[in-house]
Amino acid sequence: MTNEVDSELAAALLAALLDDDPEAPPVELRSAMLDRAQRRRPSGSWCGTLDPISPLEAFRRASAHLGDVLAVLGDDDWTRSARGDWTVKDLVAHLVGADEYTGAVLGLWASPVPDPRPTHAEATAPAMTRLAAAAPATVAAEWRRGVADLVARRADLTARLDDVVDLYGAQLPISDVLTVRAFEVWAHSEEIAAAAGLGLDAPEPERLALMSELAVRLLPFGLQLTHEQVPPGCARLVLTGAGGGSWDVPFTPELASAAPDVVVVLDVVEFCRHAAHGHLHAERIDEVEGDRTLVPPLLTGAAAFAE
Amino acid sequence: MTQAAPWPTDGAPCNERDLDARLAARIAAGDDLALGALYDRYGRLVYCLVRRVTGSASGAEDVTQDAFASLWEQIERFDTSRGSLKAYVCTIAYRRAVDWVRREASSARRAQAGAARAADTVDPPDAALTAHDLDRLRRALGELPGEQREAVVLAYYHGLTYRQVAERLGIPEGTAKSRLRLALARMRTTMTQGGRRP
Repeated sequence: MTNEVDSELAAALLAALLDDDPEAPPVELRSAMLDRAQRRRPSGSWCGTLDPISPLEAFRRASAHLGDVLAVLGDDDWTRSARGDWTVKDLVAHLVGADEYTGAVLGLWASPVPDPRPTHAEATAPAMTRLAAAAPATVAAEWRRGVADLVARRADLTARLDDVVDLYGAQLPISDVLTVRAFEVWAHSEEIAAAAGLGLDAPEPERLALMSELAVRLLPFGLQLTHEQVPPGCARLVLTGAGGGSWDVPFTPELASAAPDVVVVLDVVEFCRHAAHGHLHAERIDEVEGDRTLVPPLLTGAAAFAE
Repeated sequence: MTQAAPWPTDGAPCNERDLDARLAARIAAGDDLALGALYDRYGRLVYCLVRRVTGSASGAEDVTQDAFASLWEQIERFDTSRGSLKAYVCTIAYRRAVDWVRREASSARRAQAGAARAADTVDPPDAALTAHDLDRLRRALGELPGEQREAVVLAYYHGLTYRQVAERLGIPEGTAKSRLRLALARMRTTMTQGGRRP
């Protein structure tokens, strides 16, 4: 199929355009068409073919990508500022701590989970302190070892993906914990790449699909966390590009089946960046239709879990 | 609270190609509201088109649904650099309409002859778009001033968007739009004077 129209189509098209008394299609044809379309491809789903991956595989891929980034860093790059006061080396040490804590939460090794449960920064502080004076190569090696230890528990983790654990105060199934970690590693990879002046590669669609789905699913909780009084409304979030999709996000549970008050369209990678870092530039939003007052709370809620 | 406008405004001026790209991206992301919007823009045209080709109201309904559902299913095949969404959905619809006419002709012959036969000899568009129609169109097109005829041929025979027509002719997009509007109005008048469609 091409976009070229042949001459017979052109004639028919012109004839239809020139018809001075065109017959209107039956009103019910619109809904019948939408029903037929949804039988062929459910609403919300991205049109391309994805080969779904597990959350652990997403974490492994994100870590492999970070490993590639670290491999090309020069000595000077490790001392560059990557996130606030943290250098590239601090950020990698932070990831060492995050892997250690994740393993403890998932019951993969003997170390106990501190009580009361620490915040994300508190959980990774011991590793950062321990590695503060270490050489970059040592930090990188420790990080690689921690990732390998987690990934090596594939069989155990795969068998327990639905088990619920406490991660920084949130009750999440292990599958979501691993997706959160994949998200975090990707976000820090981008920060490290940016600090070193390297280009930013978008994650592959399979990883983006997992990340965007989780970020959208957590959005109502993010709204609750960031607003004393959540405004009533329902937003359709349309995340374009491979690995994206469309979701209706009710701001409150009683609006679960409400029609969307606003449609917000943006690229899936930009949305994931916003969920990770929380500073979406307005010009990155491609389109807003409907009640624009709902957009700021939507964006605030989406970034509620940004570090 | 009224939000200042840091992001695109509802109904903001947008050229046809950008609008097509946005709709296609939304449809690719599974946004059925965008599919509904596409139908609202082109549903009537597609229906009239396939109604002419099939000569059947029920056939036109079936083919119109099928065309939009097919676009929804395979939107990744659409390429904004090669033409407009309007041309794309009309192309799908036209081809499905031709298939529909062939199937109907084949069924009718089987019913008459009592045996299945191939229907390769059918000239499908003639089933509803008659030679008389084509003559009138050709004549109306021939009577257009050269610059209008050129725009019509580019837009409807080569499937170019307004912007592409404008680029090809070296004129502003707005001029291309008004030239095409004038051309269609003039053709409509010529065809009305030449007798209504039988």
